[in-house]
Amino acid sequence: MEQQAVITIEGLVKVYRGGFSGIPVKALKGISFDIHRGEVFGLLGPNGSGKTTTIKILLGLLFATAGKCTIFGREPSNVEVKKRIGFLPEESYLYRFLNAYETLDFYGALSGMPRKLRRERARKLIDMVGLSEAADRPLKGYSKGMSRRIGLAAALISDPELVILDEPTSGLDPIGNREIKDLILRMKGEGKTVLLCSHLLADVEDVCDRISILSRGELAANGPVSELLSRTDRFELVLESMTDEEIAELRQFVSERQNKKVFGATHPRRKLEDLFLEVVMEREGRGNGKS
Amino acid sequence: MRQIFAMALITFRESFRSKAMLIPLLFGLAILASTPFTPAFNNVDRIRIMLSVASSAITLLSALAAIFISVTTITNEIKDRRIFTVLSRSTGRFQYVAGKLLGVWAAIAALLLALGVITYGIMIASSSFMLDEQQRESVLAANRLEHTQDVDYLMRDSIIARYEARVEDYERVLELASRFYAEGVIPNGTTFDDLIALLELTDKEIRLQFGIATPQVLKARYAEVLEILTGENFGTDGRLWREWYTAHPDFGRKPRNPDKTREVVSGGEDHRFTWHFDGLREADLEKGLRFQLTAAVVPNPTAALSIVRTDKSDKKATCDIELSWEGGKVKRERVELLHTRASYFTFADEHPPAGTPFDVTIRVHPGPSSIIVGRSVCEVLLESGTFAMNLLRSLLLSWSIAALVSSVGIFATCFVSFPVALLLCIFVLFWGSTAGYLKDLTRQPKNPLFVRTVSQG
Repeated sequence: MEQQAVITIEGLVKVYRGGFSGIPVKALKGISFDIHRGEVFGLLGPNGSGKTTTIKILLGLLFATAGKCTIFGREPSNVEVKKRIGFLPEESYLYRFLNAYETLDFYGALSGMPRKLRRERARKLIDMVGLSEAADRPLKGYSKGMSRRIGLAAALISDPELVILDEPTSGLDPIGNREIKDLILRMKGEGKTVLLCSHLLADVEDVCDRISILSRGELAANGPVSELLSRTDRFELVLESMTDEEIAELRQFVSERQNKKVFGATHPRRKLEDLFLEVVMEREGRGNGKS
Repeated sequence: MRQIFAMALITFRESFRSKAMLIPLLFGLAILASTPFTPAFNNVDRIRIMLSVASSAITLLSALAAIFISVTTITNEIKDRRIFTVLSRSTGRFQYVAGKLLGVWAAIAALLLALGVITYGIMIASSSFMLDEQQRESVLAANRLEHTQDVDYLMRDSIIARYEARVEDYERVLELASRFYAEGVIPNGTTFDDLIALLELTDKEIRLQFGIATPQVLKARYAEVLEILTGENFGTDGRLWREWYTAHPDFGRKPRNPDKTREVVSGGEDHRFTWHFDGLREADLEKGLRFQLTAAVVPNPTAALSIVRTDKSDKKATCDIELSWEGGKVKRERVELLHTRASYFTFADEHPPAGTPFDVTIRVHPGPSSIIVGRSVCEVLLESGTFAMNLLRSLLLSWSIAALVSSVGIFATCFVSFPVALLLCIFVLFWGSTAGYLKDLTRQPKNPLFVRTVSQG
């Protein structure tokens, strides 16, 4: 059965008018892809590749020069559609004089939520992002990581079906980074659709089902992460720990008896993130942060 | 609506955290606090100047605050990119702008309210401190007559107290005036020499107004008013008058204007008002003729008409006047009507002979007012005589100016850059203040509208 598309982009073109130079800048050159319900989709690319322009068009903040873009089957500028979208921008663009509760209440009101529901959701989200103790302080006293967390809570205040996250782990420590990734996976488990835009490829690799890579306004690659990253010309075998003699014997067996070239035989390495989490969690007496 | 109110609330709160609001507030406080030290001839004059300074300061500062808040509120959100987090919600662009507009209007209203409360407090405290109890009681002693005492905000003329009575109380008015002169007890703390009394007689009522002016003018007018009342010339020496009054204990008991036979006709086409008089008395002609619209104090022996504006609008007005009788006509054209002093029409050698019926025709031409501030609308809606209500009215006028320029600022920043929007707002404010004068230079006034009552003295 064909999956239901939440976002459909077909031949999207965006040309910015030239400034003083008068030369127009073509930010998007006809990109096309779909994002399906319930998946985590990664949008990758170097600076200036058109990621943020794509997101702004999806949010109805910019209008496409050509091509078609729909969210839930409707125009991005449709106000009813926006009720179903949560957005975390690249930086925490917040009202610094508000505290966490007031911030969430404000964004909830902008989403058209009734007061009682806003309060309930705000309390729940503040607990979820770990800001309960700082909830009454103005945001101007927040660290960058705390600002990202409250920004994420603001994105989720209306319990959206589609969450667009632009560099969600920017400014977060590894623990916060892992918590965000866990949250993304939890949202996926709840059936939400997530569009993740990030420079941190490891983050994308960890959580995304499918990715698109943009380069100079064009779609350079698109597909499931597992397919794009798998190598069919190599094979990796993970065994229990072996002595040096056993390793030499195994290499000899593979090269002589199987006629296969051995490129390396060594202990597998953990990710630095896993080591960091293990060490810090142990010292701080917390449970394993891994999901 | 929820989105609009949310935006309005956040804009309101943000406005009070910005320097654009704080600086006018502090500056306004400094100006208001300094007003009691204003130099003036007397305390009543000082209070009047204090009110004038406070009014101007409040209007100007609120307009400037409105300009700076309105042109920065959206500009800052675009610069900080907070606008992305707002417009990515289910908040349309119209709701965003409407919320911003409401928030700025509310912030200006709060600023004006704060300055208004402070002004009210300072004025009440100052008047209580500067005017003593006895002076106030002496004013209140005239309560048998319909009495209006107003330290009037936005006061265009210099009236400090007004006594109105029916024609039957004519003697009572004269008695009251005489007693005030004699005892030197003048309303609102004005000194004996500071007084100017204006007597107005109409077919239905009598008005006696006490006002203030410069000492030189006051002394001259005071002497002339007494001459009207008594037929004697005391010069500017108050002592002579007191002696005369003591020697004439029955002064004021005789009606000074027993001739009430004239018929008053008003109305007519094109806002032309005509009064018909049966004729002049020989006795009046001997002393000189005086037609008084509000007050007439003119040199003898000259026939004259004078007009004083008592409305409080900013409209400029001019007046044509015509005397006509069988076999004669005199016309005077285009005299500007001012709030601050009477406009005189003199008829030294051209008045109708004694006993000849004649008509007086007056046409008043109101000039254009400043359209942009909508003062005339507010004037009609909020006409009031009390200090508190007049203060509120002036705050609303200031708010309407500030709301207008802030609307221009907010809409401008949606389309043009910050400096352009700022210049546009300043231009609108400047244009709104000067449009009336510019129009006066280019247009002839139309639609004659009003005229004051007439009396014969």
